[in-house]
Amino acid sequence: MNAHDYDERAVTAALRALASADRGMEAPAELESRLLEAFAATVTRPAEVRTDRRWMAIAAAFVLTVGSSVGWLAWERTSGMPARHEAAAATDFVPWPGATALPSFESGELVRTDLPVSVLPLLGITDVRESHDGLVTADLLIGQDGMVRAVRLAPNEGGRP
Amino acid sequence: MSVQHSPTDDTLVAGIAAGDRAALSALFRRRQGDVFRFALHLTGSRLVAEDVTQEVFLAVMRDAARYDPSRSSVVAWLCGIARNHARQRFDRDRPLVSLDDEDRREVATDRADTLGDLTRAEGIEAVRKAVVSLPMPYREAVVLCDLQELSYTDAAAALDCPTGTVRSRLHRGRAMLAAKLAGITNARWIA
Repeated sequence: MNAHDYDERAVTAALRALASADRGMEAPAELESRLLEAFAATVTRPAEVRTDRRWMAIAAAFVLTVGSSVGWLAWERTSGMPARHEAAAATDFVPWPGATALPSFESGELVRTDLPVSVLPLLGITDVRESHDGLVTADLLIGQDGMVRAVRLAPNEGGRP
Repeated sequence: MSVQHSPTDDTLVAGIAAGDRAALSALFRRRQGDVFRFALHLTGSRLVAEDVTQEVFLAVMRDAARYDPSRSSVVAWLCGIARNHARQRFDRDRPLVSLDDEDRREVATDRADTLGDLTRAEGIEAVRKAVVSLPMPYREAVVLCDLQELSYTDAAAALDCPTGTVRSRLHRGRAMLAAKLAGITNARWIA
């Protein structure tokens, strides 16, 4: 058969029938729980913060960020050195997309992780630092239900270059 | 009144990269059917499709931070991963090119309540078998574009080839399919 003279409509109808018949087919339900267990086992949470300390930690981080920025600017003014691009890239916490619809934040964890630079605009962060490997270090505020509530670019101390 | 928007696939992948368990659960529930059916149509085996689906989401857990939304949609990314795993299984288990009896019986009897249903189920199984018997490059194009209804751009991203290649493989694959289905596609069950 020539590739140009087959019955296009019949093939389309046959494929549609197959797609329609299989529309509800899914993987077994238990696969999700197996994956979530595996995920929980692999995710590391290096910066766990207890409920009653979380805001202190956030406030401390904020003070450190502002304080170090002010100190750096004062030093820069006296030394005449140019400011590093990365030093200005840390951000305040911004709400995670969809987090406003979640239950109130009661307790949780502060998690430091690497995010692709390309997703930052989706999170509302446009002041993106340069990154040679396409990743930036960020802090995630994760609530009592495991849902992320807020994100910020991490202050650049000892982190990603 | 407040309007709640579901997070996009891109946002969910970013959440997974950040260790968000709920994001993984949401993405799995939203996309596992697409991945499972893609693998099923590619391999013809439910058991293999289950394995491939699991491998895909394990890869997502591991590589979420590497996902680049400027290069492909999440669905195309998932199908690309599934395709690689399906190909590995295909190379390892050549007999997969035809549906095994257990799979076929399972699929065929799901909707075979009446004689008409049985006829239709048999016809659909004939189409399924014809798709699975296509050479892999043509099968991938037909499954992605005609069964999964991905755009040419997304299919090209999943197959890691130019869109022109997708179009030509799809056209050739459909012609081969027509030859395999000759005599079946005029049956009444198609109507």
